[in-house]
Amino acid sequence: MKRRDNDIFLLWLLPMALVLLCFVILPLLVTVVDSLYSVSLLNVSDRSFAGADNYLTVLKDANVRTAAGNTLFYTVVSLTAETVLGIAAAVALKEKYRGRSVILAVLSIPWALPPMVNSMTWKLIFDPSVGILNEILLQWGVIDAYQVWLNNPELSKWCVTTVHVWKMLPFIVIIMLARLQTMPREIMEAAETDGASAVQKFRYFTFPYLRPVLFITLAQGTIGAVHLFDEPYAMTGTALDTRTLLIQDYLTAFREYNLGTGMALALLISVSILLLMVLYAKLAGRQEEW
Amino acid sequence: MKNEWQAGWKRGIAAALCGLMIFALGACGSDSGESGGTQEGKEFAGEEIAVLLPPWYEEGIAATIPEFEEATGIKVNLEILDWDPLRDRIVTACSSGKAPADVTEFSWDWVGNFGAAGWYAPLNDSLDDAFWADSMTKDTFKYGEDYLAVPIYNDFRLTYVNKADFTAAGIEAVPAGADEILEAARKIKASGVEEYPVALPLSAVAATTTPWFMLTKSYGGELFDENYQPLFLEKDSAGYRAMNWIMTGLSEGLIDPASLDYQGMDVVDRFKLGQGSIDIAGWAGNVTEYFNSEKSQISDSVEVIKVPGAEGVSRTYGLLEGVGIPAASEHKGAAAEFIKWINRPEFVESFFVDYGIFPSSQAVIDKLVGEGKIPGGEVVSEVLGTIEPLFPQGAPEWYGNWESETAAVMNQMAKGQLSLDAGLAAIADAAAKLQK
Repeated sequence: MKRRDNDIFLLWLLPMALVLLCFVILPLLVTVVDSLYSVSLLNVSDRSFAGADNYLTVLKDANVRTAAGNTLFYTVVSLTAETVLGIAAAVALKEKYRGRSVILAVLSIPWALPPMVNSMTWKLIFDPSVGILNEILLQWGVIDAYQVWLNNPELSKWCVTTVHVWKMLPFIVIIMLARLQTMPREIMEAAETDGASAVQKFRYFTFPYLRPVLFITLAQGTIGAVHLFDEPYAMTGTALDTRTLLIQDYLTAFREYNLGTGMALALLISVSILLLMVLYAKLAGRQEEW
Repeated sequence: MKNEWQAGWKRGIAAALCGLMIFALGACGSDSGESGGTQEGKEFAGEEIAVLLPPWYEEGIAATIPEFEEATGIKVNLEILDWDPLRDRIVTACSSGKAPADVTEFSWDWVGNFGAAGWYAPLNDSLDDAFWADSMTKDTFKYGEDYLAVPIYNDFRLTYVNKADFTAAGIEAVPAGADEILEAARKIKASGVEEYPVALPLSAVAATTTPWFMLTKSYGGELFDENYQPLFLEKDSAGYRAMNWIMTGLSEGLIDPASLDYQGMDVVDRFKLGQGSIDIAGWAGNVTEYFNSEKSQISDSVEVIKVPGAEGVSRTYGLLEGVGIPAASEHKGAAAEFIKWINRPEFVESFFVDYGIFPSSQAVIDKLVGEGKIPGGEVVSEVLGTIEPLFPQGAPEWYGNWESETAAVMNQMAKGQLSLDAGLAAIADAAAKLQK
């Protein structure tokens, strides 16, 4: 009986396994093989074995290193901001009050907008001549002259990160809010009866309760940050200060027509994400369940 | 058996008579000025083609499509994409053996790569000999013996000045030399007439490279020698002087720091509003924008001049655009009809007059100049004689990526992250890396 149940379960998994095989495993294998060949996009059938050359080219490229540093910056800063702001917003939106549903609806707009629309909107906000940011800051006396934001080397990465966090935040908040709304009321009531302060309630009850979904939001946030392309590309073109690994990969594959090296870089990016996911999964596995 | 044979025979006669009647009716129908079984010019009627172009053609092409559809019966789906996504669409589709559209944009620097890859169909037979004889820029799109595209936009660069700013600053005559015009910009700034007299883009986009390339030419030099070794590293070279011109302009506050965020169109939009006194590398087609009082606030005071050069010499280069038919297109005949349509002299003329797309047809240019329809027509005619290819030795395969890298490096130089020498060395390194 047990064996038969197992067989049925395997049968249920078959469609998904087939989809994964066709659309994930096989393309991945093709990418692995192509990354070992010198392949030009202009003539994909004309290829020669390059071994590890493509990987060495990628690792030696100064622009790749710069793009990797930028991507690391986006990942660390945006994950921190998304987590802190996400928890704060979820806690603030947990209780039901007048206007809450309107706030939730408005909050989801950045997530719903296409990335290019987000980017172009923010490009106008940051515009050095007619941007609203300069206008507001000038009126408030924060700046005494219009500033160049997107091409200021000290600010450009922060600008891109702001736009990315603005887009990702609604998603993070909704996941955290969904978790918080399943939290048993008795726990908080007991804490209040025992005289726990707001900080203590957050530290000993709310945050531990959020931990299981924290790894989901971290995973999503990491994928989003490493996959950053539209925002920096639309706002600052191929500028090195804001160039991400994905933009660098695009330039390699579609501007240099160097598909082999592009595949190698794409694989390295994928492996990096995979390692981070394994790390998150391990950490998540250690968490105690409520 | 006999009855069966007779019945079959009768049916055969009846069918033949029906066929004859249908044929006769068809022949009667063709008397209304049409010949043959299909209407003349409508041999592709019922076909549907996709046309993929950048935004600057949208208005003009969209306006002529209904007329084309009416005349040919071919349905046209116009798709407009910005430059980079458009190019990516073409490369990704063609590399996988698909047609990105039936008619697409074709830039001058794609000829070597796309020709070697065999992605575009030759158009030699699509247009008649008279057309090819009249087209002054057709050879730009020649790969071997094949024309891979038909010129649609004879894009070259001119310099525009707001003469009122010069006069207000006490400069009577606009200087012809590059160094002298920079000096004039200093005077304009010092007089308080215009805070940032020189208008050019400095963001990390392809348009940023154009003023440097153009000034290198006008200073009398080239970017690379015949073996594609850089010629811009020596301090007295044209390329070095040209880059120095731009970076000096920025460091002295003659160029708006906001230019770091500007793309090519941002400069045009602001120049039309009277921001800036010198559009150093303006599009030739902008004569229809800048001189048009409905579109420009400087129409009364703008002048077009030859690109400021050195030692009294002026040179510029062409950034030609054409339209081609991907080899994988399944509607090559209908696509060729569309290309023929937009190359009729009357359309080419209105494409310039109404939409600023500068023609490649010598006959149309002569007519426009003769009728005074090109503002600054004499200067424009003179400049036409100074247009050269950016790479006299042939556009290299790596040009596209080198242009991107050059724009990124110029953007870094403008931000002060790289010195003039370090920046030019980085641009040379990028070329060397791409040539490997």
